[in-house]
Amino acid sequence: MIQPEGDIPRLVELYDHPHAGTAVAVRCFVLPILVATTGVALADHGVLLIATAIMAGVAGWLATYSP
Amino acid sequence: MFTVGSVVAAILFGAFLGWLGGFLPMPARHAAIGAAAVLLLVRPVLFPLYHVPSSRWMVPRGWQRLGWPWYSLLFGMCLGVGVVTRVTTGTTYFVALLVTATGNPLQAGALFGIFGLARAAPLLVVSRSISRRPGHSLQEMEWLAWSRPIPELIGRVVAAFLAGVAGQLWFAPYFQNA
Repeated sequence: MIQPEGDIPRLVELYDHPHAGTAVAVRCFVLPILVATTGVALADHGVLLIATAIMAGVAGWLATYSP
Repeated sequence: MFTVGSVVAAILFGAFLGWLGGFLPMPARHAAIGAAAVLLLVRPVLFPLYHVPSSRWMVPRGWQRLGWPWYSLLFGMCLGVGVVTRVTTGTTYFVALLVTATGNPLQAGALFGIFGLARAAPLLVVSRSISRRPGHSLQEMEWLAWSRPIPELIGRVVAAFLAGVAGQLWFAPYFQNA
């Protein structure tokens, strides 16, 4: 069932964009790959723990305010 | 008491996951982090209609009869664990996987404790507002709900970053042996 909030309206918004293909490619592939490359460069168990700590905070925030 | 329950339960659950993770070989942990990070990033595009698996159980209203502080404490504990009530976002499972991958109960407990604290923090803000300015709490809740794209963006960036970190840590032994 499609919910009024969540991923679907945002995807529709994304695909309705005049440059939808470019927008999807940049948002879903190009930018994540660039950020992941930074992760490759900084890879270390300490960095992994710091990133996990940030992700834990983000997950707690999202878990409370998800539709 | 809600916050105490949320944080304590999160620490205990995280420590348990970290203990379990200790039995996994290191390459498997890094591979799982990398795969889960990529899945988290591509899911909205490749599987937009898929909802993450979730328990339908909710904290029973009947528990209100227990009164303060037990109801607040139990409510916080149920939400602090993250997975016993309704799960609406894949990041909850992702963080559970991340803390499992530490393989260290102390680190895992501390890290998942952040989840419990973040989950309870908005209630702390709103409860202070209720006591100072009755009637204004809903506006703050709306602002917090409106701010949802911010943690989503941070989450996507950190997930992409973690995919790179995990990938590098997974591949590093192969490069060293080459």
